[in-house]
Amino acid sequence: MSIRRFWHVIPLRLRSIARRGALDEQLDEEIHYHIERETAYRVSRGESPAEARARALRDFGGLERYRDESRDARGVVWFDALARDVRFALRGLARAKAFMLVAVLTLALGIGANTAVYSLIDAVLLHPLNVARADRLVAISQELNPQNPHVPLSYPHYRGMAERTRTLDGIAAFSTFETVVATASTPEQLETGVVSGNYFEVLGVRPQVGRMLSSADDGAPGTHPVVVISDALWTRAFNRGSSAIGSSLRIGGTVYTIVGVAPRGFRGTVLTEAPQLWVPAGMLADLGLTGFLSSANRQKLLTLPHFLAWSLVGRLHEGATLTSATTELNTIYAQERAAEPKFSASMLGFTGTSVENRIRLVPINDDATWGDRDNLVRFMWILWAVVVITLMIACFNLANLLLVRNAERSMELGLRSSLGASRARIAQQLAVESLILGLGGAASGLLVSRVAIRLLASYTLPGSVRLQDLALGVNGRVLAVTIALGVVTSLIFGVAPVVQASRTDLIARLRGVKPSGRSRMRAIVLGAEVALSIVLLIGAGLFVRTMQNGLRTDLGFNPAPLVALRVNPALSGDAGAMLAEFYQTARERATAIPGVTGVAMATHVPLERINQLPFTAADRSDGRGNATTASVSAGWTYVSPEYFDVIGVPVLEGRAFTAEDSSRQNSAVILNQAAAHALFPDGHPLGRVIDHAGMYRLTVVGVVRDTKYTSVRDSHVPMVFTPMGPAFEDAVELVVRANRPAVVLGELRRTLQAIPPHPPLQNVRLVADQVSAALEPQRFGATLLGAYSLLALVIASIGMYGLVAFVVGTQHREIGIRLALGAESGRIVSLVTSRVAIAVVGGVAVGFVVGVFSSQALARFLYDVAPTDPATFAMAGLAMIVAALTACAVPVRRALKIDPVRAIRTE
Amino acid sequence: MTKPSGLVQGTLDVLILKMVALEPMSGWGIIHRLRQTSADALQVSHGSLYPALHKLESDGLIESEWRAGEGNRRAKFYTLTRLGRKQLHIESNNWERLSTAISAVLRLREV
Repeated sequence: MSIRRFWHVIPLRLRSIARRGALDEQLDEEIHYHIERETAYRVSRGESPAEARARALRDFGGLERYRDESRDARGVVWFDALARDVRFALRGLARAKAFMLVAVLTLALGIGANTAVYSLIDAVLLHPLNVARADRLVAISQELNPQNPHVPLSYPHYRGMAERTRTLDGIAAFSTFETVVATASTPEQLETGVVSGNYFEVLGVRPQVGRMLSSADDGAPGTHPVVVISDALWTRAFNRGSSAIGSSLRIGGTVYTIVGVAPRGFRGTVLTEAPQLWVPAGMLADLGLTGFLSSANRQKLLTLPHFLAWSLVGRLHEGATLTSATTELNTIYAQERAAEPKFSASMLGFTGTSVENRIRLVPINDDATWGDRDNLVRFMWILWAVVVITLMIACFNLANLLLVRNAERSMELGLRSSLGASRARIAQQLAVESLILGLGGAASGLLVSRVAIRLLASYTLPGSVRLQDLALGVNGRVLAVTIALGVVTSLIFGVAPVVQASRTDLIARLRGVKPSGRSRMRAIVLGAEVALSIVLLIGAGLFVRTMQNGLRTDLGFNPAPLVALRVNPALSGDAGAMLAEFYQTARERATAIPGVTGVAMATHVPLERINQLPFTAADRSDGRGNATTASVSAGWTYVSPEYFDVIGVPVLEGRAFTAEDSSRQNSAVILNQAAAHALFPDGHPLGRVIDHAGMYRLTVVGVVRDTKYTSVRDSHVPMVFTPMGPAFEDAVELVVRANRPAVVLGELRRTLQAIPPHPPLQNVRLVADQVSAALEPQRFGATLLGAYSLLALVIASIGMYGLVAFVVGTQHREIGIRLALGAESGRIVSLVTSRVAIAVVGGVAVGFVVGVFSSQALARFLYDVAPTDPATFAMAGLAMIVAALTACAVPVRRALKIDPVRAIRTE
Repeated sequence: MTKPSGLVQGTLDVLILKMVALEPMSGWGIIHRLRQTSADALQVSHGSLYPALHKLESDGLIESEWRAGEGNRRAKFYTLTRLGRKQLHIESNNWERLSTAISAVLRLREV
């Protein structure tokens, strides 16, 4: 058929389908006219009317057959048959309620898990940013040296590039800080974006109320106290009222005016951050931050060429490429840098020696400057693999169920075939049934995914991506994937039954021929199920071992007797004498609680995240701090004198802090082994001086043993400890050592809350709990894989049970005869279980082989366990065999109890 | 499937096209006219005429119209479309070439 003719025909065919009823009527009328004319003609030739009519009808052939053929020519039959099949399948499924329930439920779990994980992948990897034309946005950073490939830039360098670039339509700068924000309600700690005025313009983000920031907000530092708030904050603090615009809120004590609300879902361009409000860059010194970012440095923050705090994002000009823009920005940057003095990496606070200052551009969607993208991507692949494997298992199981169902229906199918239904027609009918199940599964899978997404929200991915920060949910793309999954799964699980139906001699079934070779296909399908379950079990086992190892690992201190509580005076603005008095009282009362053996204070408790800051070794002879000696990136913690005693970390060299150190703050410093080794490789740290950013010079008075400080999986992080003063104004962790920490936990909170004026108290917890919190992504992996491997095991067990029960059912008579002839029960058992045994053994073997390769993907998330850990493999195999024995027990018992006499009679 | 006896496969279509090319005709009219013009030599099975007609119609070669037929009854009359006329032209050319060729072969003298 030529194309033109094809186009001509389509509307005619469509019309035929749409107007089927009317056309049938017209057809009748046409035929009647024909019969009438023919009869009249024959009568005119001299035949009797009755004879004439009979002949006319005979000439015509069977009216019914004629009608079918004519309709066939109109191309209506296929559609009619489809509609019939759908009705038929729905009726059939409605009759087999239990089957349908199991099928749809299995699919819903399988598809629902896939939908949930896809929505995660969609939100994290495919469409991470809620920003227009994100494909033209680039993240701009500098490669300082190989150790520091993605370093932010300084504000003057940002200005230089933003003003001179021709390849980018605009470059914006941003930085994110935790600030204390007070709306009408209580103060809270929120992530705050500090952005150049053109930030929203470059990203193409429009306000939903009011205005966003603009270049007019740039001005002199400290002169534009305006803020744009997030949709979430608008909802929480202002109940989405338009009165929010123009009203004020306080950030760290400074009053800001709210000028607009960002669109829903906008969360900046960094996946690990979720700012709730945005202020102009010039307000950085007015956020109530301490240290270098305090208001004292207001005039410096935007002018210092080595204050590398600004992440840049730019929008490529029409026609410009990543390469051309990179070249241009490097040229500009080199020119800017040429006019300035050179500085070393350590001066800037980074490790390594050389400074290359090469500008790097990365498409924003795969921006690697944040966290641990590589790990994140890999982790997502693992999640995806797990849910796909589960779905495959569900498919195989369903294929098996369908095989059983069709075996039960073989009489019906045989009957249809003998009445003239072609094999293709029967196959189509079965396929339609599968499709309906698949789509039903997809629909209920959507419901399951909603629950799953809610459960996911409490977890954290590698790279500290908190799932609750992401706008997870079902959007158009997720919906499309779900429907596609429904169709694809129905193809997968529908194939085996259709193949079987088209191969089997259905007519023979009518004559009562027993289905002999039928269970082979089921055994193969079952074997595949077992193999996939083994793969999941191995993965789950490896994650569980990792958790166990992580919890058992030597931390360098014993977390068990420790309770911690955060005191956060920054939230209330408490300061000075009041604080000193509170800490004094708190210490006394906490010590008085029965069971408490020590109380200490620190700004950081082990196994929580800590920012790393640069320190350099400075010899006393060189007073300028830019010495050529070693440098290290270390966590900085303020601690009270009792701290090392209380958490149980021994002082190896020198001494611990004294009360005198506390009053003479910042002059004495204690290093851990890792920091001491990095800064003073000669092994004589005591009495030496270290320097931070040319601002702090500290004398080493002691060295303490290494502990794990940020996560159990980390090697030892270099740490620097300085004495904490009596009225320390930042958030402080109160650490208590106790005999019965769980009991002391509640008591401690009550005791401190009873102190009349007290700063906000947060997060009372057992330090031991943080050990598992530090294993968060592993916990996620263990939970997810554990849940799904259990599900897979159950599904496979159902399959095994079903196969044995089927064999017992179909060979009822044979078993009876054998029993009558005196067969031993062992023979009977092997007769009914041989297929399952082969399937399980084969499946486990294949699963092991696949497991050896697939578990390599988990390697980087494991701790102290090899991906091919024999014990884990053995446990997985054992679990499967136990499940198999349990599943087979019931039908085997039934086989052994068959009454030979009745069995032989019943056929 | 009943094929019109003695008709080469596919010729029924050409015959129908030719008939309706002469004037709009009902199904019965086509059969009757064929009977008359061929002096009963071409006997078209009534049962296969209508599927053929509908096939031609859905292919867009002929179109139909309800109008008053004999005996005061509505009848469906078929007419040739432009596409059908082209097709008829091609097919009758083919037929003529084929029949000339066959005649030529049949006229070969046997030795």
